[in-house]
Amino acid sequence: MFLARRELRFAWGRFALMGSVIALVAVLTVMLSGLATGLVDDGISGLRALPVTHLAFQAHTDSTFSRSTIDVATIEQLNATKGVRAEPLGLSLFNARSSTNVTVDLALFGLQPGGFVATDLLHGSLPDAASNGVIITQGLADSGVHIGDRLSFDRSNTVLTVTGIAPKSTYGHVDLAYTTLAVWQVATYNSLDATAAAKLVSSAAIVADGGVNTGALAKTADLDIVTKTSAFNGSPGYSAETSTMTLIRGFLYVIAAMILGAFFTVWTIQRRAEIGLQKALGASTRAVLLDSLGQVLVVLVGATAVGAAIGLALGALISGGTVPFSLQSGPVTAASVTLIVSGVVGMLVGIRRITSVDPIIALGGTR
Amino acid sequence: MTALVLDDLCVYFGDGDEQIAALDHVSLAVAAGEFVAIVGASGSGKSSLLAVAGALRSPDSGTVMIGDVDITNATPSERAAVRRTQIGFVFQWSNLIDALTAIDQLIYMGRLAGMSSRDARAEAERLLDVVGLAQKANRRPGKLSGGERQRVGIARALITKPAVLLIDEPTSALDHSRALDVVTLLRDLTHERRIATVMVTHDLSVVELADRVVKMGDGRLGEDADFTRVDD
Repeated sequence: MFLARRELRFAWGRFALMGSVIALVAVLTVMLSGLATGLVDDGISGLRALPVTHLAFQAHTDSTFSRSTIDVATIEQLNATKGVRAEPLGLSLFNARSSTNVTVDLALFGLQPGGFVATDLLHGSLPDAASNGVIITQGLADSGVHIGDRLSFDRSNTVLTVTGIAPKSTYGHVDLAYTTLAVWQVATYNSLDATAAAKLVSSAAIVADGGVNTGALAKTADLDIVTKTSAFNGSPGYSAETSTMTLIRGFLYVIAAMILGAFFTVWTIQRRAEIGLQKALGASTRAVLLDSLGQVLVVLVGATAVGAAIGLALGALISGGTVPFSLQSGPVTAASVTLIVSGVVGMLVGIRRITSVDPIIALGGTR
Repeated sequence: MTALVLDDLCVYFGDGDEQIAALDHVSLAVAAGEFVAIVGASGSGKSSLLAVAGALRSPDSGTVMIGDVDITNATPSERAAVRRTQIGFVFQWSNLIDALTAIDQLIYMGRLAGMSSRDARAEAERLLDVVGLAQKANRRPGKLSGGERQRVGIARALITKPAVLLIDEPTSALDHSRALDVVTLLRDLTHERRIATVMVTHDLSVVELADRVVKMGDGRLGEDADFTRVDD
């Protein structure tokens, strides 16, 4: 690094220009990471927060709550299996209007009273089992729905009174609300009488021990049993959004690799005579390569760190607004590391020419 | 004691269907402390001779010995090691690294050869003093004159205490006065440090400072290698 450090100082303008391009790519990477995480949160944060290992759906419904209907009796069958705890879990999307005339979209969870799936409360109280109460999440409260308001659900003639507010949580980009399973069944299966509706639910929440063969269990019960993570794919738009964001980020990494490859190709060509001189003086190709690699890593890591810091600062300004944006250390670190790795790949393409430089060019008039 | 022996060297280059002999059965022995000048026109094979003697390439036939070591068929990495430790180069146009100050040029070379940072710095300071550039140790090549750059190049070549010093057209960028200064310095250092020095040049005004002058043309050295003056 003796020469590399001095070249960084000597040609600082050139490296600063390159570094600023990398930093800009890093800003974009962090922002995209924040958007991707925000979109994912907006799509499945409600599911992710569930204290379950698996979810059971009607067979062949692609883990989609809106398509799945299962018999509550089947859940009893799951519960009878050793190492498995299961309970009914309802989830439907509604449009609702509050008594103060606020219209909201919401995803209504139907929870079994006293079950292992429950929600925390920020304000108010849980609805009692016999009343038509509902707990809204903070997002709905921010839309203007308050404790004590009555929410009229479309297509079901169900009217529920808001009894409490839970932390912000979403499913399919709409805010969640929680009610008792019985109320949810009436609201969802409104064309059936209460007795028939009480036998149906959209899914089962499962906590299974590690040794449980969920595949065999699913076959026996004629259900689809998927892990909680796999169930994310059933969230509206989740697969399309994540694959789109992954594609955009992939292109960004490829672009970063190409920019660095182009820069270091030009840089190496410009330094050809100097590299020849270094080799003529006795520097091994390996030593010259390591020196260049170190130089690149300093620029790459430094610029990525600066870009990520700027991205985090910009992200902090955006977070909490209407744009689904969430910065978490894991995805930001992963994005930054991937950017560095793709940069190194591009740079390796650029500086591979070092291996082919003949030290003989250091002599003025060979031949 | 003979420090450099080139025996019956041949180097060929392809030129279309033809093969041109850049070195045609060239033999030369240089003793420790001897300053040999090789003169010849462009294309006479001088640089090819330096390339082979300096372990920058292997000959197509013949033998290259540095001291007792035969480097004729050395691998590229073995040749690089020989260049680091046994050979000093002084290049045409000085060939310094733009990013390094005068002292760093020497330290870089010293560290390449395996010297510790402290030893390399101490030796670099001493050598810059020897070549009269102690006051300009922290200047980069862009802030040095042509003669000063060449002196830095000489000091860089000497920091590893090489057995063989190979000099490629050292005066091509210098006026006559500075050219004489530089070649005088090279001659004196050759004698003081018992180095086997080969200088290729087409500048006849400086060859009289050499202990021996050898004329080269069409890839061959003059039959009798002992000249005191030559005509181009």
